[in-house]
Amino acid sequence: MSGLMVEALAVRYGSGRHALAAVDRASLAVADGQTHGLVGESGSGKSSLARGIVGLAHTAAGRVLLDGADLTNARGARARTLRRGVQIVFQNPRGSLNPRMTVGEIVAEAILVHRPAVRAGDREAAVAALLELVGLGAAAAERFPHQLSGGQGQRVAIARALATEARFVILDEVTSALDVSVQANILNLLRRLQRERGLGFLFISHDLAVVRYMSDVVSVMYLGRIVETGPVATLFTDPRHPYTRTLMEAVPRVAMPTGRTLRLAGEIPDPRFPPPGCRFHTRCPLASRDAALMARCRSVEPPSVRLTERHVVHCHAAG
Amino acid sequence: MSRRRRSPTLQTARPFFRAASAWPAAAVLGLLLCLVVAGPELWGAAALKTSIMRSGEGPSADFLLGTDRLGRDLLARTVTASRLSLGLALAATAIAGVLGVSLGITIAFATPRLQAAGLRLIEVLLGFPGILLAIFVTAIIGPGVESSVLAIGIAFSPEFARLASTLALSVGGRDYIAAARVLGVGRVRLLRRHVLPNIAETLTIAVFSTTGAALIAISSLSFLGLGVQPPRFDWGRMLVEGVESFYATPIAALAPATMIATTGLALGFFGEALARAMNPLLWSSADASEADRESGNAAGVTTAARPDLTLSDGTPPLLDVDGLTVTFPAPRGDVVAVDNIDFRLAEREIVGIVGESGSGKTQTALAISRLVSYPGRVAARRLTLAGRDLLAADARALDRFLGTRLALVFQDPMSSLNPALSIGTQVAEPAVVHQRMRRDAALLRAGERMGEVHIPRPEDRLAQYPHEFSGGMQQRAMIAMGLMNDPALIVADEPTTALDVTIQAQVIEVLREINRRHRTAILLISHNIGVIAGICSRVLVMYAGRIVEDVSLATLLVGPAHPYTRALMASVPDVAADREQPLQTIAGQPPDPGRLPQGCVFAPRCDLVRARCRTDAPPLVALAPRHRVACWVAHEPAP
Repeated sequence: MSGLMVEALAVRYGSGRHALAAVDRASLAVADGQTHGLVGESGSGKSSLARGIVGLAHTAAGRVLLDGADLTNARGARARTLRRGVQIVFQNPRGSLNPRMTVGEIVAEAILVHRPAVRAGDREAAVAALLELVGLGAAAAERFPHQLSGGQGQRVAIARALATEARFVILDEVTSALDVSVQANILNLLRRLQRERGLGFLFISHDLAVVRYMSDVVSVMYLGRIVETGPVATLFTDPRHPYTRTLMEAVPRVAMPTGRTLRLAGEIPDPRFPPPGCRFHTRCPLASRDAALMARCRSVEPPSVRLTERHVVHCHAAG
Repeated sequence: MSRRRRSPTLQTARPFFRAASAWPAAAVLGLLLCLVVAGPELWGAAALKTSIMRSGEGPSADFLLGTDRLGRDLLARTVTASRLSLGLALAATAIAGVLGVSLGITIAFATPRLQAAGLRLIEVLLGFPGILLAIFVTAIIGPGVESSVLAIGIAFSPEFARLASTLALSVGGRDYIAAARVLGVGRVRLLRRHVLPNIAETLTIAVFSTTGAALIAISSLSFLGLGVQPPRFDWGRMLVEGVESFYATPIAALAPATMIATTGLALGFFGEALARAMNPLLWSSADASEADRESGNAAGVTTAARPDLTLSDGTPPLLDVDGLTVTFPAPRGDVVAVDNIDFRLAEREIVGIVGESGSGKTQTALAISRLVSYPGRVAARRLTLAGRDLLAADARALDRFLGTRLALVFQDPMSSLNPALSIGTQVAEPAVVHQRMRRDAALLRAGERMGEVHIPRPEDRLAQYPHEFSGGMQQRAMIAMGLMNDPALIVADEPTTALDVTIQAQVIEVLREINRRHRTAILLISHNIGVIAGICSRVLVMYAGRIVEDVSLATLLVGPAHPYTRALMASVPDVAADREQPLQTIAGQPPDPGRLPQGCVFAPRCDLVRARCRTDAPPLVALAPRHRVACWVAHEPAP
């Protein structure tokens, strides 16, 4: 049972009538040395799922397993030790690096927490090695976060995540705040680190081209649910869920615009009041053409249809 | 990037004394400190020496401030009282701070239910005036020095608790706290390293201003007879005694009152300056400003030859920009955000500007709209829209002209819309203001325009408010607003950056339809080459304030000529990118606006650099019809 498994995880904010089910029974698996992409629009629950996995958001149901060990139900010191194996890098280094600590202190803290017995001198050497690893150079240790560019800040956040010797890293929109040429540097760095250290990534982004470039497997989220999961090649050439299809066609391409077959109408509904049945039925181009299908989509939750061993879609019209 | 390393003390001292009020505050507090230390030793005896013969005297050579009713030297007493007065104030503040901050932070990190209860409790406690609370406490435990200090400490603690809980709650939501939690950083360390340092700045100010307030409060208690009891005396006690004979010898009350006021003010100013000094963001202003600079060139103006680009159909250009320069004065010399650029836009044309942060693309848009913010300066040899000079002095007529002929769409629609006004009022406003249209007619047109940008049921939506619109709908409402006066040009600055891909596609589609239906030209600024490629026919590529390439979309996609454009295009993964290959990157970083290279601004990062590139700036000249490039290498004859 190697790898990071997420089983039917639910993340809920608030309680009672105002409860917001940000993530509803989401399951996915990140294998060692692989990248699992996660796409979806804002409000689809991508970041809530990420926060649920690392224990920053309260999980109402489901489990997160790291090599078979249950992270969600562990408590105390054991939970902290286990959780160190899954780290997270956020979108904006301006917010994720403590402005009152130097880069060296930020990375050293992660080592201190992970291996308290390490002597100060060795810790300093380890910090220097980590900073070299992410392409910053040991001299960066003396700087404060505000003295770094966005790309450099993101490298520090990556070094911090690796300081605990984590094998899985959740990358939550890590290049969204960066310029494209800087983005290329960070993406190359992540792929190199993955190759060298066998890291598993959960790569969250709204940029489909970047997700395609980085991922081996991709899941698509809509209103808190994963609607389709499949190998990257399949998902980009033969998407089966109508939402995935509209998403793929909305990608701005660096090529001449082509004719479009499926267009997405309307806006993402209020997640506090998700539509019954299939959550996508209010915008679904397939259901809107077919009254009988629509009747089913409106009332019955779509089943999980396994098209191939690794390609799963939740849709009444699939299969 | 070079970094100067200074000693921490020096780093802290500099911003401290940069605050104008720091010097006098430090001087006053330094003097007070001397009095606290030495005062009672030097003047203690004189302060207690009574001489009935000389009671109630005014200032004289013997007694600089005169004497009190018992003939004691007022100056000696005032000086001697400083130790007790300040000591009590500091003790009370320490009690208030420790009690309040612990309570506040405990509440901030409690379970949601406890947290709500705790915050409510603080609100209730804050409802009582502090001094009343203090009187209440002294009434219970009896008057005296200790009880009044305790009373003031308790009375002032809710203020600290509220401040600490508010600050800790806001810091608690930051990603660096989240990252530390994921690392498994323990509770104590989390507080000590991540929470406290980030709220210390505001708490420091509070400590100093509270010390001032505690000084006054304890003096008030003494004044009421609840605090310091004779024969001990603090400034408050002296005030009581002085007021009794205020009309005969006002100085007896004024001396301690002045000390209380001066000390309070000095403490406040000192605290503020100290808080500034504790913030590393202010240690070196040069470093801080470097992070969010607008790039530019301080090295002077390049001599780009004006290419002869008469529009093919012989019509005058809609937008004609020649030699446009935008500069911002800076201590190290002017920062040139836009450096002598020129381009033209024909009617109906959709042109994109791509470039990374600091390339000057936004300042170009703002300059065309005459919206460059103070103290920026706009200069150009020619800047005309539909034949009208946009550099003309008549600001009112120009506003009116731009108000009807030019529409602007910004990145964040929520901050462009007024949350307190209905969508209909805002969309209709341009027609009401610039065309003097009647309100009902303007609303009717607003409804039509909102229909054009595919806002469903526009008539019903006119009465709604911005928060009832999603991000994509707000952006389309902004476009509808821009269309009210049938503009000739829409300048859209990153209009889809804040939007999701499917919504992004809808907004781009709307812009394309408007272009087709109303013949409106569009200048679209974006860092997203995909968005640009989806709609533009021509693209201007900007780097470090200059246009490096002016190229048709087709050529951009298959064979751009400038090395920067080529590197930029290769660094973007697109849905057809080869997943096995690493992405191409551009070595180095964009140039520092203060140390811009001589010659070509891209030369330091360019693979093809020649000797000439480092000395002479290449002009933006035609390489082929409808294709201009600012690069010496691109213009070399093919081998």
